[in-house]
Amino acid sequence: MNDGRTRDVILEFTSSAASGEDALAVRAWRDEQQYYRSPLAAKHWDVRLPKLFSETLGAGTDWRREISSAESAKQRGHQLWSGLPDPVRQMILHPGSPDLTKIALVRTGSGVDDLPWEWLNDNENPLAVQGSIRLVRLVPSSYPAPPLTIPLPIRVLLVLASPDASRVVDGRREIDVVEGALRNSALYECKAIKGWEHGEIEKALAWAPHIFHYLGYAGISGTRGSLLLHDMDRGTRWMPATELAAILPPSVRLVCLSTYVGVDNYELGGFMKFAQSPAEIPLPTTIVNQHSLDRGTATEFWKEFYPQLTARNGNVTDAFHFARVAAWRASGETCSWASFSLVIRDGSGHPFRLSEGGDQEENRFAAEVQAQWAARMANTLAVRMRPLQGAVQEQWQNVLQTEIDHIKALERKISGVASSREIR
Amino acid sequence: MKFDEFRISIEPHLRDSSKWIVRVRHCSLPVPALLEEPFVCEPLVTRQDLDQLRNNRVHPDPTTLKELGQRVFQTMLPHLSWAYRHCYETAQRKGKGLRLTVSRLGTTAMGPPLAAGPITIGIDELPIEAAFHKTFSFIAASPKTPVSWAVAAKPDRDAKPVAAPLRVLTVISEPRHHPPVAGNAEKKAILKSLGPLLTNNAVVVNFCHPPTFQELRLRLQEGYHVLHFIGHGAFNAIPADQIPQPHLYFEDDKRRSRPVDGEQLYMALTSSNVPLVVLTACSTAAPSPRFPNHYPGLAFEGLAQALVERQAGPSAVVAMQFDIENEAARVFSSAFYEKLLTTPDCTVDGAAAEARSALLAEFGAHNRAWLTPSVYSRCRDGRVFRLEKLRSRLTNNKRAALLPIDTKLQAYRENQEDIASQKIPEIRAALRSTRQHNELVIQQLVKDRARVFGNLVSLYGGHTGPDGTIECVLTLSLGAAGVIDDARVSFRESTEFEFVRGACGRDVPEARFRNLPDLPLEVVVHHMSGGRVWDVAPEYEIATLTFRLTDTSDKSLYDIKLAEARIQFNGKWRNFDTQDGIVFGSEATAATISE
Repeated sequence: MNDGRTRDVILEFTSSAASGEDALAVRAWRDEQQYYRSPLAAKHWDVRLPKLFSETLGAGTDWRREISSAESAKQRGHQLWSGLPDPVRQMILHPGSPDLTKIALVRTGSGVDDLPWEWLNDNENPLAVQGSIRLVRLVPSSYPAPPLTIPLPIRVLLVLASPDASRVVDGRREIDVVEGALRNSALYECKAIKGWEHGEIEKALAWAPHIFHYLGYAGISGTRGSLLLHDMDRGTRWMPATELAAILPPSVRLVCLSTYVGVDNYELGGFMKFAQSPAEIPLPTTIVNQHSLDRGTATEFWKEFYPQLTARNGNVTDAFHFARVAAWRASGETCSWASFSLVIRDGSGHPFRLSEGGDQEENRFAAEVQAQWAARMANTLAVRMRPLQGAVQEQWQNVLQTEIDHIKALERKISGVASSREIR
Repeated sequence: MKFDEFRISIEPHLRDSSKWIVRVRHCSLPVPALLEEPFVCEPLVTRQDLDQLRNNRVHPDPTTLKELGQRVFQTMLPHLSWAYRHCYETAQRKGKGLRLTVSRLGTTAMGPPLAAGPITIGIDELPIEAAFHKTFSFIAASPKTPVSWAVAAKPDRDAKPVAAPLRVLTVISEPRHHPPVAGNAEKKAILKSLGPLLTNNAVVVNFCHPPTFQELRLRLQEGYHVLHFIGHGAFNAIPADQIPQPHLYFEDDKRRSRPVDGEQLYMALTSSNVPLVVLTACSTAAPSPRFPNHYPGLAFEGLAQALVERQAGPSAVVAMQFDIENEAARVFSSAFYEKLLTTPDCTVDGAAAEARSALLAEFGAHNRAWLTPSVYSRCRDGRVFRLEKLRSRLTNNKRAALLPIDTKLQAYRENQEDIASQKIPEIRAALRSTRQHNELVIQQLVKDRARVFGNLVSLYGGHTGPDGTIECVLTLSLGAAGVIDDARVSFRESTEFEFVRGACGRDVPEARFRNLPDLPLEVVVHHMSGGRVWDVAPEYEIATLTFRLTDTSDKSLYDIKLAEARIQFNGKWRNFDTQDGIVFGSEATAATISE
């Protein structure tokens, strides 16, 4: 949902009916609610990406497993940009007021999602690191879940999940890439576990963390991404998004999926597929690595991200942007920075609000969790309603409205709890 | 036929791409260690084998196919054929068959850098239907040993109760410039196989005219239990974007070809609650093709796989892993529906096995038609729906009105179960009012649902008390005014509830409650309306019933199920529709019962 200071450009790429090589179609919406209300009303334009799939995503190029050079990413990014139709480029470059543009690429479940859109490049610098742009992936929500107010410190559960055992992975050094950013901060409390098994992770989640940070392998099973748990000697345990979503408590409003930087990942594309799971899976907003990256860039990203998250009062979209810029500066001749991708799944990209606590914190927490649940219900209904037509859709709209009214009532209750002192 | 289940999972070996890991997830053998043990296997099927199977011009001869089938069997059950055989014999002694279910966890075949060794075929490419063992012959072709795929380690859907008539929506799509699919011959074969059921109105087969995707989306809102697509399917780049995606080819309004991909089809199905999809179209269950020089991302897989694994998708999809010829499609559909819909409690994999057997008999082992159908399912016992007795005939309008209510009811039930699964006490406490809010919505939806029916016997539940008891009210609604004489309402047996007592409802003179050991509860009422004409408007209270919860799990929702309602209406016995009672569990009740 638009926060008033940002202009959204929601883009959905699909295969095109037009003939020609590498032809796609793109539709654009102004906000997520419009996306749900008018699924087919948006005009679509053809996109030409000559040989992009065969050259960029061909087996020979292997862009996920190797760290591409900055130059190669720039070329590909420019190719992607040139393929966009003029009206879409105009929307991005000349948004008018307000100045900040959020380019949100909608999940379509097609291979187009797998393109490295973070490489988009209009000229010298990639769009993703330009100050007036926030480039994100989006699993649209019909109604955003309100932020969860959390008293500091923010609790981070860091899970090192190597099914390959310590013979290959230097767990200490891998954990250090993320934990190093949190170690001396009074604003964070970090618990790191070696979560070999599903049960251990479930147990650790009883701590009610706010951020679930997974460090490990990804896998792909059909169209689904999976996290890989369990010790190799006893077989692996593949955990799809449905399973993680089922055990995450509602206190977790951000998931981070990091690849190892000391060893190659198993099937790194699995993280992006995991994060872009369909909207009906109640997975929070997720940060993923989509291709290999070097240790320096990864360290720099997390070193910047976590302080930015508290500095920006829990706004993940902004914190992510500034961390990406820092990573870009640290990447040198490679495009390691573009490995990081933000998938917004909560309708706002602003899942937290930081507080110093107060007398009515418990009431507020309850109202926020209830609102989160009502938003989940509203989204489920909206997803199932989207294909309906005519009178039936109107009937459904009434039920959806019941849930939206419920959320609004809860939001009023939340803002009525005055004694909580927000940091800013 | 009833079945025991032998369920295995296959996953890639992380450090050796030439190996897979097989684990037994469920079987009747009392050997717990077997369920823990990972069995490492080398896929014994090569890409050349697959090319041979997929070749439309030359099919492998029976000897080659047997030899390939043996390798498939050894790959799936490395050092485990004794366990399979033992389970089969155990099942046979009980007069049952043995279902083999294969879950694939991971499909990677791209040779990840962690893994040493040559790249094998993908797990999803293993033609499990070809498995051959000298004791069993081709196991998937025997109705006693069905074989199917599952997308997760554990099946998670119960059979959907379906009050007759069972409704099948068939799309026959034959776009211009595509080879003819002989849809009419297949249509006739289906109608013939269902002959008596159609005559008795136990099954209704409707056709989607025109066969456009737009029309399908509209028709799905009428409420169907089976969607059957007869036409063309292909794994194709549309038009040339180098991403091979599976498509079905619908017609547009000018009979041109309109390709529809898995995502579009899924979206059309999300609000329709169709539990079974049958696709007699080429390559609709084919795994993602490996294009060595094109797209290696495994973004896609067959339509069948993609539909079943999604949350709001069907419980099972039967589709074709290779190209299928028109004549084979006709034989398949005829045998499949005949078995599925005329045999009580038939499983979908059992019906597919029967159809494979018919294909084998018709075309011989040398024609790969018999191993072309694949079943993808997430049903707990292999049954997609539970057919109930023929009751009233709902009009299209009523059915269309029920669909959104049922879909909403399902969504709220799932939401309620999510709340119940929360483990942190503070979060459970925070969600207490959401739970209550959902209960109110569910109760309202149940009332809305009752209003759609004409003649209906409903059970209204509510909250279980702290001691686990629940007071329910049994009511009668009428579609037309009339005199109600005798009535018999029977319940389904339950392991979750026991009957405690009953009392006569406020609108009837007397009610008796038969609750004999090993027999389900029955409520009997004589001279219900006392000779007076009862009007349509109110709901009449037949009885109040008290049950006690015996289940110790902390479930948030239970169903007390009605089996049948026979009502003597204006002197004639009639079957009325029934609506099960929804009962809300509570944390306090669960704690008390556990103690």
